Amino acid sequence: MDVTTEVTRPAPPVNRGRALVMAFAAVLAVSIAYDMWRMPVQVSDSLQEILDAQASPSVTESFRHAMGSTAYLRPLRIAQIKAVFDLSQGHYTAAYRGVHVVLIVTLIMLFARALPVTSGSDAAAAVFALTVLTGLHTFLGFLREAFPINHFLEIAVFALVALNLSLSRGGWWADVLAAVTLVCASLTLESGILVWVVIVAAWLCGLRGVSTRGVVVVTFLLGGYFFLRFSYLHTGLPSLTERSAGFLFERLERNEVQERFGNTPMIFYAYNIVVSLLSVLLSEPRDGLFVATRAWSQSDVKPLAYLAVGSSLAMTLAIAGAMIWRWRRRAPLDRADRIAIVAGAVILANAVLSFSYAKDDIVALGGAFYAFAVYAAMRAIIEFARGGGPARAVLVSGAVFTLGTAWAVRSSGVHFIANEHAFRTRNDWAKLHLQWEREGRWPKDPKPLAVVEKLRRDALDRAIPNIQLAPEWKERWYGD
Amino acid sequence: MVRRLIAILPVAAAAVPGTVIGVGTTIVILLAIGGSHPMWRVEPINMSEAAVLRDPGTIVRLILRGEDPYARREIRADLLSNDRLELTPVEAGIAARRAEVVDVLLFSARTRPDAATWTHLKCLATLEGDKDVSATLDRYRPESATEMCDGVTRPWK
Repeated sequence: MDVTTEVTRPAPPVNRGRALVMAFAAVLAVSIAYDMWRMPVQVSDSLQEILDAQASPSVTESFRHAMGSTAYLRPLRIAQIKAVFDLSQGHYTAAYRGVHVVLIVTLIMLFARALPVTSGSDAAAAVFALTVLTGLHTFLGFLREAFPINHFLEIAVFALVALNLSLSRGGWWADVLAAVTLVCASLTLESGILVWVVIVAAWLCGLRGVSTRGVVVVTFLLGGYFFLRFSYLHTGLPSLTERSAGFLFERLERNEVQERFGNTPMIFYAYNIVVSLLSVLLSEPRDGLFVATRAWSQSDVKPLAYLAVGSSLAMTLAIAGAMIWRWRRRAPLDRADRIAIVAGAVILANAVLSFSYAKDDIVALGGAFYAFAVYAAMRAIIEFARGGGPARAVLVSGAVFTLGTAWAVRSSGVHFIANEHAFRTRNDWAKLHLQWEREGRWPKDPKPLAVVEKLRRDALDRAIPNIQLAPEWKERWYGD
Repeated sequence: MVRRLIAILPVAAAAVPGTVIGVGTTIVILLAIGGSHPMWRVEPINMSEAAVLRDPGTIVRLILRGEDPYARREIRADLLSNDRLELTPVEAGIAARRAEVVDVLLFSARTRPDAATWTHLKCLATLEGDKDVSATLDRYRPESATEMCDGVTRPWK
């Protein structure tokens, strides 16, 4: 199969199927955005960064100061937090939650936009893929923010911008935007360099919205990033003792990681890469821990574990089966196939970038691209089902319906998880004064005290349902 | 007819589960616009119930609004026991064995418990046999308090 033959062509005319898919995506996006809006700003990892933003004299100073970090190069991340703080004019919760809402809507709409929907079966596959996008456990990483701005979500948006540029008709503006996207992403988080993977993989697959010249420029910029990071700024890599880590069935504290892998870090890194990959493909392990396997060995498995691992395993097998079927038919690569190849490259690269520690949030981008592979596979499966007799059509349709129902259940759980997270976060704010007072951290300076009190009142005033009053089945089927 | 069915069936199978979610979500959005999002509907609870339900957020919010954390309130049946109960939030926290809730309650209250109240609470915690709650209460012990528990019984089973 020749992967370099697709000529970038005009986008297909708007059709009813595509319009329905965009409408479906918009409905999902709005409902999840509503959940995001109801959540308070998180305390852990967020509050101190907001106070740091307040203390910083300017966005430029925040950027410059962050360039001197020892293990990470994320100056734009810090600068963004400062910029949103300054622009909020005291409405901190609205500003930070607003950014989250915009990002989640953008992510879902960019995903839907990238799907080449030209027929009814394409639309059905797209609806299925959107259900997988929002149902996969890694998607929750986009909702549970760790920082004032959810940067994992931001990187995923940058990657989808890059993909949409590669799928566009191209032009100098696409090349410029691709370069800007890469620079912004890579200076926000390390995983931002996956934008380069998207652009180059798309180009290699024949998706040439970003031209050869554009690919050369972004590759040059990537080289510049590595030079800046390792040669000029001497920003290192995270050490083994950076944080605790999941390993097989137990969580290792930082000193335990050092003790066990201090002399053989490559084993630890290889483990993290493999489990990150498996997490996207099988929904197990989670954060490096084989939680479902452990629960199964202790005869304490919730329905959620069966649902998550079963649906992911079946979906990944279906993708593999569809790929083999397409390959054996020597079918020419269409646009969906090419996007699926890009998805494979991104999932793999995302897992490799997770070498230092395995966390579902880090592979959330890979999870989003997994849904592109689902789209291509579902189109092939529909084609396969239509190509035989009634028995094949009924059997395959039954399997697809069952799988789709499982993913729809997973997708519907997003709202419960959001409620659960909001409830916990509000409780964190309730306990903050007590904790910080005891730790001697409660601000005495009136300026940071005013920010803390404002955020705390905003959080406590939020009307959030008590998850203890939720029906038990929700915890068993949706629980985090 | 059969050929048409073969053409439609796989498409429907792929689309229906997601479409059901889409339709359900649309209804939820419309309800949210009308002010009654079914998944974010808040059931009103009082401070004693919040203590049982591990809800420091509601506790602190109510205290900040001026509610008295030492006043008795009714706890609906099946939250703490099969019957309705009348307990103060701190008593409810002790009954539910929630040291962190008791801590937040006493820390956030505008006044510390007086000696008699503290002794009563300490006796309840001792009777309940929860060392964490008991240790938490020790942080808020008034100087004149005793630990004489004669005649103190738990109002819950």
